[in-house]
Amino acid sequence: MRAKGEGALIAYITLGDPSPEESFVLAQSLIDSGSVDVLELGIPFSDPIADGPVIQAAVDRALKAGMNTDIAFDLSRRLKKSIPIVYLTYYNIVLQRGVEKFVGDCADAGVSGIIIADLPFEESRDVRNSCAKYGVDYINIVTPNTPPGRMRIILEGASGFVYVVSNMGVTGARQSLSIGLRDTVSRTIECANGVPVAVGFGISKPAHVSEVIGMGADGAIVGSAIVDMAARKAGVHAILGYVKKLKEGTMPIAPKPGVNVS
Amino acid sequence: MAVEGRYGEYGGRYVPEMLVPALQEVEAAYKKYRDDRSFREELDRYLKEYVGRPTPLTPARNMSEKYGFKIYLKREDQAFTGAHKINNTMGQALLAKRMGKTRLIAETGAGQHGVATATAARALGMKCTIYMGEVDMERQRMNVFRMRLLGAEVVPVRNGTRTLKDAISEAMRAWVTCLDDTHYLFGTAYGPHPFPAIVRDFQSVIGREARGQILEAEGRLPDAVVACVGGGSNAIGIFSGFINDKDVRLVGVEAGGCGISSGKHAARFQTGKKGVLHGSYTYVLQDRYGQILDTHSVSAGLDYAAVGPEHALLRDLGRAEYSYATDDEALSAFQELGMVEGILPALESSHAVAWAIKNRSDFGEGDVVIINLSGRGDKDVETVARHMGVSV
Repeated sequence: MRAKGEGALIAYITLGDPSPEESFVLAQSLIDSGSVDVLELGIPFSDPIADGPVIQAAVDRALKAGMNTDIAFDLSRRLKKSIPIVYLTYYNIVLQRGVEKFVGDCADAGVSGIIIADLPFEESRDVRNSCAKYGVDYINIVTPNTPPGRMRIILEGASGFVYVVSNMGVTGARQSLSIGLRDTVSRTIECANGVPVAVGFGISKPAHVSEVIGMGADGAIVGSAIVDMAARKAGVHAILGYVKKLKEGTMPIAPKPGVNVS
Repeated sequence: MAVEGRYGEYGGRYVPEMLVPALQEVEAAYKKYRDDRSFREELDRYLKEYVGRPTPLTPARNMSEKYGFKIYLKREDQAFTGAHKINNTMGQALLAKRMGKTRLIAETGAGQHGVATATAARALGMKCTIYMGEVDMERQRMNVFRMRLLGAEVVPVRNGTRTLKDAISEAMRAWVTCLDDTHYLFGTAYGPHPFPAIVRDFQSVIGREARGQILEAEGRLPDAVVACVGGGSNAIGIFSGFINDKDVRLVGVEAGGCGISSGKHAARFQTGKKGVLHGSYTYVLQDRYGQILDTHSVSAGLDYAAVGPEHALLRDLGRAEYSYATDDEALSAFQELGMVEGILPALESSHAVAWAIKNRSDFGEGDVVIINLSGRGDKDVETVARHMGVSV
């Protein structure tokens, strides 16, 4: 992306919301839009402690509509993929399918990476091993309060991209980005060994997207704002219009700054 | 324990990355202070002067006569605020204070932990916010009012099942926004490491006292110790006093709700499977895809889909056994203890009483059974009246 002189737009939707088939249509439309560079698909978990009200509500709708992990893999297999697809879920979902089976199924369905919201580095060995075996990226999460030493350990074997949480809190659109974000982004870039760095949580406007790209991040992740539009039945057309504007926020980007961003 | 924070394969720390440094901070503080003499002295002073410890070990003479074996009640209902919860909240609040925190947040199901947290916050001059499911707020209205009288903010949780499970999720979400000044005062021997260990240690005072008291009263150890198990803090507290006494039978009693076959219960050891909820790997009521199932119990304090990880290990080791009592059995035990002994137990504790009554044939003359009365029944009077079809 950087060679093309632009940042990546990563869009998130909850699979199964409001129904498996409707989420499939939205996912395929986002892939085909030309505005989205990576699509992040949430596999619902009934108790999503890292998520705010918008995603929680989406998860509730999806589960009520009968969503489950089998359907998630079926839908993912059916998607015509011109961009990378990654999953975001919670550990119990992976555990109940079996860690190795889950990761193997990801590889089989053409899902290139997984993010597990409640699996810290210390508990992640089984998943990492399976990911290495099947060639699936294990995407690490770092946060503003991850201490430098810990960040280096977490990111030592990073692959895919690094997910930087923009602020202390749960997912959900916010008016402005946090003051310390620039520092978190540059610390992450320093530790990421060249693996792309993407910022999520709270990003909802093209201006936010260009702000994080301007900080040196390789991508911006937008979730709740898209899910919220879907919940308000804005329609696929309006959502695609919105992601197009977000995508405009990723370009053109300034040359990647050094680690000493002021 | 081979790995810190693990009980056999159970326990661990499954939380969003943002909470890891916070939990490490709590863990470091706890390691620093748990054996610190001035900390222990201060906690002991509060337990004695404020909480009213030691709580009595009461011989249930009438019930003993009725059933033909000796029943003792460990009276945590006599602890200040009416339940064992205060042992843990005083301990953690003092710890939080030493950590430089000025505010406590907590979740509550039956409301007793919320009241105990609000109380500890007041005693130590700290601010307090309590997260409580809307369903629980309705069935425990008096405790909601008590918390507010103690200056706590009570936040209704409207997500999911609107009970304890969702209150814990919401408290965790809230904690990540205020880690600098706020301690999450976890209410039971559950959750991510180090909470199961911290809560067990602060509740172990129950077991230490009970062991000394029964030795004094009977000159020997009991044949069985029975306690209800929601998250499992009162049970692990009393069990810990007897865990090395292999001849003492340890019995944990879960909420059988409307019966196991109805699916409306919270008996994790009956139909639960191993999994992760709220930071811990343990037995969880869930479907085949890992979605957490709705639970049911007449007692809000037992109405939770997962069980403390140390209980899972004790069960695997065969050191403790886990059974259940249904809503009806608990309601009937509630009334019986009132009528026979003049003591109204919490509906949670009524499950332990119900087990002892139901399994009375296991015991004979001269046998000694301690039932942990984890709390008093005042908070449940309205619920019981409703079930009896009585308007109060």
